[in-house]
Amino acid sequence: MKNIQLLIFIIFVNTISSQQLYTFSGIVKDKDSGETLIDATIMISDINRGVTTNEYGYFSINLPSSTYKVIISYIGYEFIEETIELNKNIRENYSLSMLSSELEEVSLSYNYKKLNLRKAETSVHKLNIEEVKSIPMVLGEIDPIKSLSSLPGVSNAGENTIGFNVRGGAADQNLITIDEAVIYNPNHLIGLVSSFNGDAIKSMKLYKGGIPAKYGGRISSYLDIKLKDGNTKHIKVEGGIGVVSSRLMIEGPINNKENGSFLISGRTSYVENVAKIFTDIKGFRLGFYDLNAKVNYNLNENNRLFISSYLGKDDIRWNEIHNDFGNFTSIIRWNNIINNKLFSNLSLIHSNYEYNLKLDYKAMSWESGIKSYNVKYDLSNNYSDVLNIEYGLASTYYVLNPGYITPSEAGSLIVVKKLQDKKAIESALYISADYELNDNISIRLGLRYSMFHRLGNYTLKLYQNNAPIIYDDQLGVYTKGIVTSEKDYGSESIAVFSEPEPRLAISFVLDDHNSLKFGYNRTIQYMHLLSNTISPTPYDNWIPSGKYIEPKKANQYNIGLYNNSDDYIYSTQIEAYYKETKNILDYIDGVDFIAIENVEQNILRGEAVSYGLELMVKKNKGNFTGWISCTISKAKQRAKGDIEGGPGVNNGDWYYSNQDRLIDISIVGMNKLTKRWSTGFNFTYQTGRPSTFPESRYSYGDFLLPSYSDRNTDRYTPYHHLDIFFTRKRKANQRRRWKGEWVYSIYNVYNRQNMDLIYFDNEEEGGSATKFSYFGIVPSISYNFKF
Amino acid sequence: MKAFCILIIVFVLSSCTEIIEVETSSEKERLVIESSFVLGKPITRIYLSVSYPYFEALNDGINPSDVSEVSVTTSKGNTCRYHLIQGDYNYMGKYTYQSDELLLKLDETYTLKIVYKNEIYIGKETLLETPEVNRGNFNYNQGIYSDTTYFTFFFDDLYVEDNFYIIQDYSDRIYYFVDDNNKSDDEVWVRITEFDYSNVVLLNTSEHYQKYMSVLVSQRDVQYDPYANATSIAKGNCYNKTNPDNYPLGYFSVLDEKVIHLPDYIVPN
Repeated sequence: MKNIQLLIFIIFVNTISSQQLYTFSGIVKDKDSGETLIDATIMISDINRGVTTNEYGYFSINLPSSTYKVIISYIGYEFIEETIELNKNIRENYSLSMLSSELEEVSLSYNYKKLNLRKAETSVHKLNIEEVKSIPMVLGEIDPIKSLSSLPGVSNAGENTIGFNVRGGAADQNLITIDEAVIYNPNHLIGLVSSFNGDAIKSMKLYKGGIPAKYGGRISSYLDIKLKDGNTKHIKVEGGIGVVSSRLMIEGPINNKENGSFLISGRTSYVENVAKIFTDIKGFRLGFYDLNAKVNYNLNENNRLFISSYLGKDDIRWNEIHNDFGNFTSIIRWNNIINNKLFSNLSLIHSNYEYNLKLDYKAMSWESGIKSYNVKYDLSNNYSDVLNIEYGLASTYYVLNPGYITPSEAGSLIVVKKLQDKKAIESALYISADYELNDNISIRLGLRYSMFHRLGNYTLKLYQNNAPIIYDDQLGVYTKGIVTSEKDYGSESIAVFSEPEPRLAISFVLDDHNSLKFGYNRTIQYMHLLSNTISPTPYDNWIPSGKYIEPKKANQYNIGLYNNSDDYIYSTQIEAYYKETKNILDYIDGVDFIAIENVEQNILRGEAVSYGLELMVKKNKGNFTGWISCTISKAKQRAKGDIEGGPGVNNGDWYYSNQDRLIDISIVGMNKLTKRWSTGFNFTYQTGRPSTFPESRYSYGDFLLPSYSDRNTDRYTPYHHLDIFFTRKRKANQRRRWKGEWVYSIYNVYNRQNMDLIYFDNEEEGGSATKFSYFGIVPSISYNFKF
Repeated sequence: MKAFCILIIVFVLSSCTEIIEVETSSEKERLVIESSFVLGKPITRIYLSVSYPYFEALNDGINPSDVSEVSVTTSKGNTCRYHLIQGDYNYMGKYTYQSDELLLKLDETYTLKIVYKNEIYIGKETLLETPEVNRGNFNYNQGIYSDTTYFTFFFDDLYVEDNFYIIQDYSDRIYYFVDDNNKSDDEVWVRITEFDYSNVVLLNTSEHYQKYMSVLVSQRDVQYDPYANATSIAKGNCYNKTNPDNYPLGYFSVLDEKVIHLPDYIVPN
């Protein structure tokens, strides 16, 4: 506490003692497309101070009156160097040109991809969309979500799994937003491809720790995906034709004044038709599509409006079972430069995730989903050349539909049944200060104060001793508690939670090439995904915290050493982290969460801990670029039964979480062979995931059955594969607008049969274990174009 | 829902299965308890066996000399002792203990006691009445993708509290677990799609037994399904009073079976 007071005092003294300041502000754009550039650097070289542009390309810095040499730069772009006479507020926009390949060879350090040693920001990865495109994925699909697992501390549960895991956290602990709207299911085809069209993505930033106070609601990570705004100068078309899907994007100006643009991108699959070539299987349909649309318009110099929408759907049919699910989001944002020092953004966001199932043989339809309505107001105040303050508020209203059953046809025997909607409001206030204490020390200090109201209009069961789950000592099993009565909450809230979430990051610049950073963040998660299946499924239920379910609370500490080599060819980061989480949900044996009204009868409260060491070495320059990332980590959890009684799970001992991976290695390389040919590879190795195998078998009735051991005491075999690709570009011709390239890729070159699933057969002569691999070697070809 | 999506992807892509060797955790031998207590049948039986290493063939089962008592006590305090019967009744490592002295009655609770290797095992179950089937009919549905024959039958929901029904087709070992979606007023309807036109059995069971059997069926059937419930220990209604950690497997079930003879109903052309 004393340290915080000291910091506030320093900031205060610094502020009042400073001389007359003027503001240098503006927007940095791509010269060719007019697209704003996020995280472009504005360096005031005389005094070694700098700022970066925000997510809307805007920068602002306050400096004492003087003449300064400024350098505006962005990775992969030519930099601009100029002198400014700052004796009044200056507002200037800059347009940077992409580096030509010749210039790239002689570019200065401003243009290099390198680590930001100075910024008090830890455990963050920015993924360039060109890098994402160069990581070969199965069937040649561009997959921004799967490409994340090539980063240290990020893993997935193997092939065909939804979501990803960050530093031992479950998939529901990641906040994924696309232009600020929450995406609940980031994959199509149950994990085969990601929900996002890579062509439309401008930037991806993953916070594994050091999550700024501005963001909250999930405890493990924040994936911030920003879509392109659209080309303000020319109509451009970009697309690709692949084995399972094709995509198309059109962008362009909405008038000839370069003050607005639009972007429409779509993707559709034909995997069903491809499947029919290989098999005569009948009675199925398998498809997906997604659509992004975005318009932005400069109302005037200080006001800009964005309207965007995303729709992604999957449609799967198998004889009498029809299944469709998907996300729909719509967003309106208003950027307002209130004055030279103050930038604001107001966002109104609607997200909707729906899961529908129709069973013809029962003549039954099932609907479930989650809707959210979100308002956010964020302000950024460039207080002085060393202090930037961000503050704001956000509020989200959730409506969760756990299940609505209706007859699907006339004459159906199904009785209409509606599980009660669950409603909640999650709100937060935050303030965050970025302060440069001196040339070597930068601090980011933030506080988020979050509040959660589980709203009424709900009838809740009340239990004897307030225990929804009890332990039967004799049988050694958990059973549902004894219901004493029901309470109709009417307009009264069922539960209210509020919690401060402090965030801290400090950067110590050791010299021109090295820095040491420390981060701490406390994060709270009020919404939980119920899942007791081997892999997350599209129909898993989200539930809010309430009378019986406490919010998850995590504390994460991380420390890292960052290095840019002398010639800026290599950058290295080593980070160690420790994360502890309270109130994770653990489940009683054998529970199935489909269509369960009183989920609290099946949940045990637990805790989790994860820790690890991460290394990432990146080669940023030259014909050959790429990175090696290596993680050594542990992720454990336990449910002691101290609240519910009984021994908990596995006798209350720590056991490995599903996300535990002792070793996780990725090597990604890209090599320009000639002007037209380039190649790349991706190698992944992960320790196998924990699982529960049978300890013995027995006969009951006509059944031969496995008898399982304690939870997660066994493990899959290691998961690894090597993938390569070759790209052949069309011969360069300045007069031709059409630019095309063929991409030939081979996934899993050495035909590794990974253990994606294991199942146990029981025959009289003995049990056997069978492993199932989704993919052996998979060659594919795709064609990408733009004009 | 579940496995079908994966099946599709399996067919499309270069998926592969392979029998492998894996190491399993420490193998513990546990007593397995099974019963055949059916209302109206004069003989009641208890079957005892033991679990054995997963990858080994069926073993010889228990050593009967280790069993010093098998008895069942009614809620009125009458105790009936069970005796090992010799001959063909003992197969698949199971030893059969039987009695013809116990007359089963509805709503009575029965307590099983087994003394095996000097440890006392207890199981308790109440016999619930299963309703008679009111009516039933076959439907033939010409679907977009396939044609299916259904059998739909109706019965009254007998008890005021929640009832837990199981429908089983003995020949194919197919089980249906009836949930609230099948209730219309006080009548329950069930629609089954897989049957062999012989007998189907309706059971009204305890909630524990229904849940236990659904876990067993999922453990028996799990294949190719990443969305199957996570594998777990399945515990029935018996416990080891002497040494709780050495819990038994299996279930002491006491049932009222209502047999539905499908040939009695008209099959569509």
